Amino acid sequence: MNMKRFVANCLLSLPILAIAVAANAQVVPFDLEIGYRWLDLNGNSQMYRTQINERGGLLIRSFTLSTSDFEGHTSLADRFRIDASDLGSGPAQSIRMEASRAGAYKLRFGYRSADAFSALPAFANPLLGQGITPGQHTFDRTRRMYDFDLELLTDKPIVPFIGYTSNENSGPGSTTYHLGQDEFRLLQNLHERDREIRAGASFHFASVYGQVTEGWRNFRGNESLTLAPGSGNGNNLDPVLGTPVTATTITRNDSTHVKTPFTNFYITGDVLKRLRLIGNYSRFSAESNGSENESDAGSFASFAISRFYNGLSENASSNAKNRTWRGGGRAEVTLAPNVDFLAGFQKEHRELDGVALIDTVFLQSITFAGFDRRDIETILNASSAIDRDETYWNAAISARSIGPFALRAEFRETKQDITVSPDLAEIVVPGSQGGDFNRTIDTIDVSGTYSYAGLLFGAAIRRDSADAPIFRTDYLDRSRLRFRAGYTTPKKHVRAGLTAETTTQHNDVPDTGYDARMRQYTGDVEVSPIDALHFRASLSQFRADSNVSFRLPQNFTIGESIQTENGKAREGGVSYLKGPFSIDASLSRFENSGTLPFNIDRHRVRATWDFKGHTGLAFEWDRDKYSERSASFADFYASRYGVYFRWRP
Amino acid sequence: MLVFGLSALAQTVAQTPPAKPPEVPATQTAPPAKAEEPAALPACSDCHADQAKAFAANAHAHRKVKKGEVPNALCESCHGDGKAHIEGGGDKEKIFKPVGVAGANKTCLACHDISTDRISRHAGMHANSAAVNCLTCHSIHSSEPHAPHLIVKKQLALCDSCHMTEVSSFRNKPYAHHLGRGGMECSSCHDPHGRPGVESLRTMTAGEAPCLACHADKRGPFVFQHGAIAAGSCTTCHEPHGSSNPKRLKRATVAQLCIECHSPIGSANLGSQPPSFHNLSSPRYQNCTTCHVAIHGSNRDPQLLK
Repeated sequence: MNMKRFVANCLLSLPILAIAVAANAQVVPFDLEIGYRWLDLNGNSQMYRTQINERGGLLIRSFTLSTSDFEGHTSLADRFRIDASDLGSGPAQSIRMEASRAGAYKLRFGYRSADAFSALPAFANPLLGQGITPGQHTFDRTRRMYDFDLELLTDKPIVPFIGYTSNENSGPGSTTYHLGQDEFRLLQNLHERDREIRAGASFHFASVYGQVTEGWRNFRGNESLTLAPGSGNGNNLDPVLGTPVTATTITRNDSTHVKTPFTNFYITGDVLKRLRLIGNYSRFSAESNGSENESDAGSFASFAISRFYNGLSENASSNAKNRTWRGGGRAEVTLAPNVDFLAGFQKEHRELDGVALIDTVFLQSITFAGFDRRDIETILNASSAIDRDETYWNAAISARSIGPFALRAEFRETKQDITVSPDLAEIVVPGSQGGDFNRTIDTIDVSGTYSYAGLLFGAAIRRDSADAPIFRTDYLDRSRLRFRAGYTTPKKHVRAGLTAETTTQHNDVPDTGYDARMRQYTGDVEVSPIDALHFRASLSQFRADSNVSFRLPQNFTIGESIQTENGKAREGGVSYLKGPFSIDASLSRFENSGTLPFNIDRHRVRATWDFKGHTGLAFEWDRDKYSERSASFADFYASRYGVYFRWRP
Repeated sequence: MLVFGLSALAQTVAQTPPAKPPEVPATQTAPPAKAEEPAALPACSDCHADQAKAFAANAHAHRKVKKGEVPNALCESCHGDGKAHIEGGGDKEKIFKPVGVAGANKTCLACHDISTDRISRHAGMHANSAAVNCLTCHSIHSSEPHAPHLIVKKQLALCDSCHMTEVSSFRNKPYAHHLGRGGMECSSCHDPHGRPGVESLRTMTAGEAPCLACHADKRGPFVFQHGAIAAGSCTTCHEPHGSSNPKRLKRATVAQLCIECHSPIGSANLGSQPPSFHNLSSPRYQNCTTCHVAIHGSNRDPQLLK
């Protein structure tokens, strides 16, 4: 697949190159790095692919072609640029192209591809204790995204534009399905495509400018699921009321289609010399229509109908809507040079509602006592709704430059009003599934910096106070303190920096007792005794602690959920550039202790040698070692070696 | 399809006759009047050849370069009148060099002072200030050749200059977006010219969170929404930057993440109590998403089971 994609990407690049050559440009910076990478992988390859996924194979490490013809000799483009990276065996690849002709058009095209792989040993894995890995939720998918934007008449007061985006996600996976008092592993095949067409215009008349966009989005998703071979016994090996629950076939197919027209508008005007007003409005109306059919056979139990059954046939159709609009206004007032007063108001309203008609036939059902064998049909006509309003206003003073000082102070109030109306079928244990929830958050944010002669100090304090939580882990009080310091010597031979941040949040409502504290510290230093030689080192620490009370469902006792993370990273590196040679080497170690303790060691070396003019070779060596301290089944040790040809005519 | 389209475009280009060079106006070809005409000043490029050569490919040189030469007027659009500097034999004190907040105010913001509902280059989080200004991140004459928008370093390294902790989490933690590869950068989600706080986040064209630009399947709408998303946001459960926890969750295990909200002991919060058969001491119930697979929303099951 890698080779196929590599060739496809090269083909994609060829016509673009043709355009560039045809542009007959004056300045043609060109940069190509192409080569081959080998992968030596030991340990858990699935964990490696989940975290890193860099593979062996052909690779265009980077490619740049830039032309400009600003004197207008060509009729097509006076500016053209294409950048590509990691085409081939890279897990995330991109091509970006820009072309323009002054006053005529500006064209942007982007292609991105990302491989998404996940097969975690412990995640969604009730069988971990039996030594069975990975978990039952895995996927190996590729996301491909295309973006195209064209602006016309770029030097006119009104600039029309059109755009198109495609986002395609597809590939196999596995998931689980709860059926008949057991969970079964299913093989999954997914294909989703989201397409968007947009058109609009930017305008600029005197001191008034803005943009209006009208768009249409179309999402189609198809998913098919079948019982994985050997998974018929399910996760629960115990019988239910004396009867083993097993599946011989499970087949599900579903499709979803979402249409979303949207409008987006903003206008900005310098009303007076010192007053700028900005207004904005956006809305979208998404409507989803879905259908699913399911056919199962086996031996199942249902407490909902108090029966055993041997098969299930289900058809569901659904319709859901999301109507959202957001609007607001802002003012930016220049009180004095570099001193501004800023104020704004925004309101967002969202209505989510949906209905589903679910027709289920339990085949050959029989009571738990063994009587009355027959098919039973249930029809659920369910609906749910959520309304959400969020308004906020803010006012701020910003003094951007008072000598070496910069200061900013802001007050903000945010109000949330959420109404949740669940369907009765959604409520298993009454309470906290619906209702009206209101929350007001007042925020004071003050920050300042001092910058003089290479020295920088910065501090920011933010305090949030809320009157009520919506979720249990919402804060009532939150404080955040940030500090930053840096120094650069006049000739930039030494640069040092330090950042520290601490955030605490609390929800001291009785029976919740949520406390969380996060601290992050980073210090780094870079020394360049000579221009060609750079040393760098950094230390950083991330500490997070939180605890909240909760009720254990099985016995209704109160427990404490405690999450602790203490990650320490040490990094160091050196780079040297002299004539045709360069080398850049770094190593890092990240140690995480707490709830999930593990270590990560990373080594990176990249060396280049231009043996003839602008032609040369690049060598790369990367090593990643991941080891968990509680068990070793997730550990991996991977080395990658790459040799690349460099050409920069 | 795209390849064919681009091929067709390339063929069209190939057939397009090369445009004539722009005609020189007659007034410029006429011999200069000898007596009144002041002596022409040397070109800036006579001394600053490297800068001029590089600048000829700069976006700011659009249609202003004449026969490969950068006219003095183009340099003076940022550096001011260069006559005294030239006549002073290149005296550095006699030319304006845009530096710091004042330099950016007079040059960059003279054209680029744009404000929308999300961004403000004048009043945003990286607004032109004593500590950070346009020229901290952008360079007209010595930008990184492989990076767009004339930024001085590749984006990850540039943001790392100040936001070391955030960049370190991407670099070191096991579960993180692959920044710097495949077109994903800090600016994929954050607008560096955005207003402070949550407004620094880019939004999609319809105004939604940037996460949904890629994760379109999570957008819905669903008949049965998960309240954590409908009333909260993606960051209710996920760390958008690097995380030590699988799936970039905020907690190391799924059950822990879920139960912290789904436990309305005595308060009226949003989040229902799991029924008592959810025995958390059993491995079967320690991974809530083994059953509640449609955790982002479902069109078919009120309990998000499918």
